[in-house]
Amino acid sequence: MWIEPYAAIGATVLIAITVAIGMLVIAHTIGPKRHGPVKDTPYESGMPPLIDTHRRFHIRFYIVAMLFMLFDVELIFIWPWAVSFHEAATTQAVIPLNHGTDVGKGFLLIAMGFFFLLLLFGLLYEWKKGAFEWD
Amino acid sequence: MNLSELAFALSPELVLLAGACIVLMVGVSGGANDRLAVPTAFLVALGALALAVFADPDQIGTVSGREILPGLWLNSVTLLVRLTALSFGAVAILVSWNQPVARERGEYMAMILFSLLGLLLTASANDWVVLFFAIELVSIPTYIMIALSRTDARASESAVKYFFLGALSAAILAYGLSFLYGATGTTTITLFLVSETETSMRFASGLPTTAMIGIVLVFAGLAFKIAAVPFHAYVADVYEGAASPVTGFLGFVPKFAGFLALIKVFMSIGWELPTSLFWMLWIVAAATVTTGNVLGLLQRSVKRTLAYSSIAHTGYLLVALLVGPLAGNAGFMPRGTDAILFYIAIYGFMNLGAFAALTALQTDGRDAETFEDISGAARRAPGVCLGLAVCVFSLMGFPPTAGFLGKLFVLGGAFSLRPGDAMHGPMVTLAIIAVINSAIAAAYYLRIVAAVYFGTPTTKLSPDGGNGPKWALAGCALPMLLIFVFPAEITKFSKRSAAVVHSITLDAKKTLSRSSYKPNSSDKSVRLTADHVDHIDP
Repeated sequence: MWIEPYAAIGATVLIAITVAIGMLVIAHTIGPKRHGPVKDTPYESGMPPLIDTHRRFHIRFYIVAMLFMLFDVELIFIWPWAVSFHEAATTQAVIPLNHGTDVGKGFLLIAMGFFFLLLLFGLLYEWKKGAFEWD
Repeated sequence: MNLSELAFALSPELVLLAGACIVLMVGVSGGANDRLAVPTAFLVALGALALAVFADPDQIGTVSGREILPGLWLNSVTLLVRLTALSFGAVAILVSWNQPVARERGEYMAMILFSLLGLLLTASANDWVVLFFAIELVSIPTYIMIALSRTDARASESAVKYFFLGALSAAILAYGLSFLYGATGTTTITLFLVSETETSMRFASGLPTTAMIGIVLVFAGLAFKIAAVPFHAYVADVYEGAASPVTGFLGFVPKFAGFLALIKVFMSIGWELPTSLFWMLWIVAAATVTTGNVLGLLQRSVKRTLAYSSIAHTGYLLVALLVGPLAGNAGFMPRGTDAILFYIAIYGFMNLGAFAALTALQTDGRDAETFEDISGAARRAPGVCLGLAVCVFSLMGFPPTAGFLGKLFVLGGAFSLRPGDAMHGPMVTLAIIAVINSAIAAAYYLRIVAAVYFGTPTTKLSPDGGNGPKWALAGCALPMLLIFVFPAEITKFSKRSAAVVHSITLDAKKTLSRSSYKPNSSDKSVRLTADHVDHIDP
């Protein structure tokens, strides 16, 4: 039947749900319940909390996070490209286009060069905008 | 194909991309250079437009076009989109000539250019992934444009609203496209065989459930971009919060991109909509056109009124989408897709013209917004108000303007289905609903004209929004009158552009009607056959 290939996934999901619910139910029914000021803190065995967790922190961390995201995505894209390029360069493999023309490693290199050029502009823009200055 | 040919064929896109980067850098280079960003962006848009006109290689203007890169297929639709989008972009830059605050002009102008680039790529995308990225390239700059367009809290609010809903719709769209990939095994939309084209979405026995789920999800994602009814709630708030030039831009660019994508989806299934899908679209179209026009009546702000008018126009375009590329060709009447391309191009300009007029009329140093703001403006600024009246009459669909032709083509297409056709009754009903609604719409459009001409003038109003918006208004209003007088060239052009949709739909339909599908050995694209899909589907 068409559903057969998905049976394993279904079984996994079922087991996961059963285990999760089971742990909650067992802990709730047979676990000991003692309350007290120390017991009710979020981290019973840690330090007593010094300040409120809802602190404001500086907006510059957000810029750092954004820069990290950008370069992270860049890396994720370059990694598989490098693998494909290595394959194309060593085996002379080509990517067929629909009209019968093929593109090879030269195309891959130019495409990645183009991508880098765009990223370079982004980097220059951020630099000019002062995103790298901590103050 | 060598690199210089490739660069030549893609020259408008490349000029836009390079221009956007340069404008961005000019904007942050400091000092008085900031002002230079606006004329630079204007020249970039005009340069790209000139390239689209003159550097048109033989292949691009023709029906079959040319696939120049994997997933990028230049054809006659590309040419139409390049011409309309780039001239629209140039006019939109004129409207926002004085708008963005200093130090952010570079970013703002670069975002306009990036968004236009996305629209151009949407037109040529021949791959679901390319299509998705192109649509995101249209949308993401618009979020930034809204936030940059004004310095008050309302602009930020509407940018945040638009961003979160846009992100949600992008997720739904991507999810739907993943279903289409699952159903077909390829991300290519149209495959090129030796003798004919074939779309990847053809199946031996009707649409499998996976493809149906995909199409419905893709429609839901795109319904947000085109502001169709269940996803229309954001429109009025976002349009009101953004500055007028941005609002004019929002009314056209995302909507055009959404409709181009919808055309691609439906042409890939041979426009043979299963009954459930047909009724879903029918209900969405009827609800969109009614909601837009009825709620438009209740508004106090001109901007909100025009926002609901934008929703209503989506409804009219959805009627044409239901007519499709095969039906509706009766004498003078173009086919459904011709009507979409014609009407949406015209809608972009008349809508932008109305917002250009609001930009030109300033109240207390900000753009005019409410009916009180523009009350009696005709005495202070007769030229601007004449332009506004032309654009509003065109939006209404009143005869001496191009808007009338647009409505005529859309509704005429819906009426022209043969009586024997199973869809004849529903389509005529839908057309009648649309006609009644355009009568309702006349009430609120006339309120704008009446406020301008017969209202009591306020002292706060001053027509000093600068010369850019006034030129833009002239550039929007004059063509509306000219196209009504000389429609032949434009309608012929939209018909020729939509011919590619027609031919692919016919080819896809042919494949659909075959009893079984045999893959052509000359086709190099990797994909699963229809037989494979059938055993996945119950």
